[in-house]
Amino acid sequence: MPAIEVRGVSKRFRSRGPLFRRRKEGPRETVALDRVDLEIGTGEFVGLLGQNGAGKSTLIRVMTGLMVPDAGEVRVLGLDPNRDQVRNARNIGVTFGQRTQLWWDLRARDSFEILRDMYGLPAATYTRRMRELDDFLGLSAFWDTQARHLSLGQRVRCDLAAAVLHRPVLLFLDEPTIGLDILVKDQVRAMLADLAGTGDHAIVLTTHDVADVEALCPRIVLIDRGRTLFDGTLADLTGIGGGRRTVVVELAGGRAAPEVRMPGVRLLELDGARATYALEPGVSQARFAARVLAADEVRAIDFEGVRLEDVLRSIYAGDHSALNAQRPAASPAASPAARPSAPTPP
Amino acid sequence: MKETAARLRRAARIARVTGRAGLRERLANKGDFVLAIVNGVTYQITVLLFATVVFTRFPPLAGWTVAQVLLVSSVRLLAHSVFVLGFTNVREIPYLIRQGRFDSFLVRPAPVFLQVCTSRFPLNAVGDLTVAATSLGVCLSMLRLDWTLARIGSLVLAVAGGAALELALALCVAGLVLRRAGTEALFSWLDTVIGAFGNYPLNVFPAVLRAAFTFGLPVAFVAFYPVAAVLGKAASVPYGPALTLAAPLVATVWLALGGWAWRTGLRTYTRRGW
Repeated sequence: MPAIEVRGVSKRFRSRGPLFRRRKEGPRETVALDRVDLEIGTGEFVGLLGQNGAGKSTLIRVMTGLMVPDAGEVRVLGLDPNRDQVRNARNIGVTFGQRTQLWWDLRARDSFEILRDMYGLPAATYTRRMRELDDFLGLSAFWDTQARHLSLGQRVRCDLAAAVLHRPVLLFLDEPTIGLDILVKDQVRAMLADLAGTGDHAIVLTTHDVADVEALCPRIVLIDRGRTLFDGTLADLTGIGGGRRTVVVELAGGRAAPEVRMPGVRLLELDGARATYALEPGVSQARFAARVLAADEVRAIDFEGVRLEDVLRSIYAGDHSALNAQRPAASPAASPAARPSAPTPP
Repeated sequence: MKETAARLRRAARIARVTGRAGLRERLANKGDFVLAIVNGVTYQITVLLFATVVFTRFPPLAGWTVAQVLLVSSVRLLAHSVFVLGFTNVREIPYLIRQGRFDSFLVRPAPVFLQVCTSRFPLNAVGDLTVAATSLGVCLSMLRLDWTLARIGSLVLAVAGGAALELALALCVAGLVLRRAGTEALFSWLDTVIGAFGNYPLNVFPAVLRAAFTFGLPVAFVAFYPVAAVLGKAASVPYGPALTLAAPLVATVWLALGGWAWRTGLRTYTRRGW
């Protein structure tokens, strides 16, 4: 059973508009989600990406039970996350970006202890987990500070610790590294990678920080105007695993690079001994390399996938060609065996 | 049965944990703590002073003596204090949503209602309760009633029913607030209406208000009708003496309505517009 099943989920927001209108216009309707299908298995680390207003937050709210869809069905470990709110809450951990879940006027440690009691964690388990979290996030330096006096970086780390304290099977992270400095980002990523490395959790990350996604998320789900535009591996999206790539070949001795005649291979640029080729999806890197190596003495061959940031930029700008020949959108998730594995701790 | 008992035990444990946290938060700032209590006391004393001045200048009110009217006010105040002590945070939902705390409640393993009610200890209830109990004691000493078991029961039921009705009405508004931002002003409106009209015998109001507070918004059942039963004045109430015993039933119906509004509000809550 997948950890999360989203089937045909739609959500629309209606606004009646101003009382007095200059022109006759009906109520406005915004489609936040439009027949979205998604399956996420335990052990997956999924980056949920999209522009502002694409529907990511709505999808997260539907999956966490904070919002009921107009149509479709959501199951989280077999439960309806809204109707079974209390039972569902035991299975999930959530961070809400800039909004804290800590008790504002109490010390951060008090909030952890309240959550310990709320989730019924045994004292020994709580102590062990706090020690583990402290190792990753350096919490003990500030956990005796009132939540209202914590810096953003300290608060985000405390919120993250609060979300994972009860070791939820599912973790929903909304912009967990927003506004953090490089060192704190590294701490947060290391902790998340460690959590993902256990294979016991399904983690959904929404972020605009491409570095977070590249460091942590083997699987990407791209949402645009409420629909799933892409659901596949990071490698597929950036072209590393069979997608579009460029190859730079440099010949020894300053000889001019050869023109390689292979289906799906196109010479992009010739600059003396350096030639840049475009490899269409499906072209074997090994066959291309063999052909070049057989033809001449080669100093260097450098295969480059497309950077995720560039792909996202072109998709957000309306150019969906980067998605051609990739995994079809809104397809059921890969079988557990075929799913991309979770990242290893950096 | 076993499952229900386990669920209740779990809810009690969580109420203890979150309630204690809510109290500790209030105690974190000494200034706020003292001000909250002083605020509760001064507000209720002002209400009582106003009522006393009115009654001593214009006695009696529609056949009700000063002490009898004070009993209506005192029961209303006491019921309100009980409501404030247990459930006043329902009226804080708009703030909890804006702070993002309400969303946290939805992803924690405890009933949302319980978390809302225990999110902040209502310190002003201490002041409210003190003033209400004092006022009740004073007017009961003025009335010199024979305290039979039935009369004591009626008084307890009157206070409980009044608190339940306030809770039910607050839940109805909370359901609307969860559904649509901008309806939160209804909380203040409700407070004003019950505070302004609930302290006096229904007989003093015009027919339209008498009907509205009996068959519409149940303000008259918060204190007036049950107190009429306590005082043995059932024959003098509008629309028949049976209504003096109807408060528990009315409270139950309104609680059911409030519960439905709350559940519907939670299911339609989207956080848009906040």
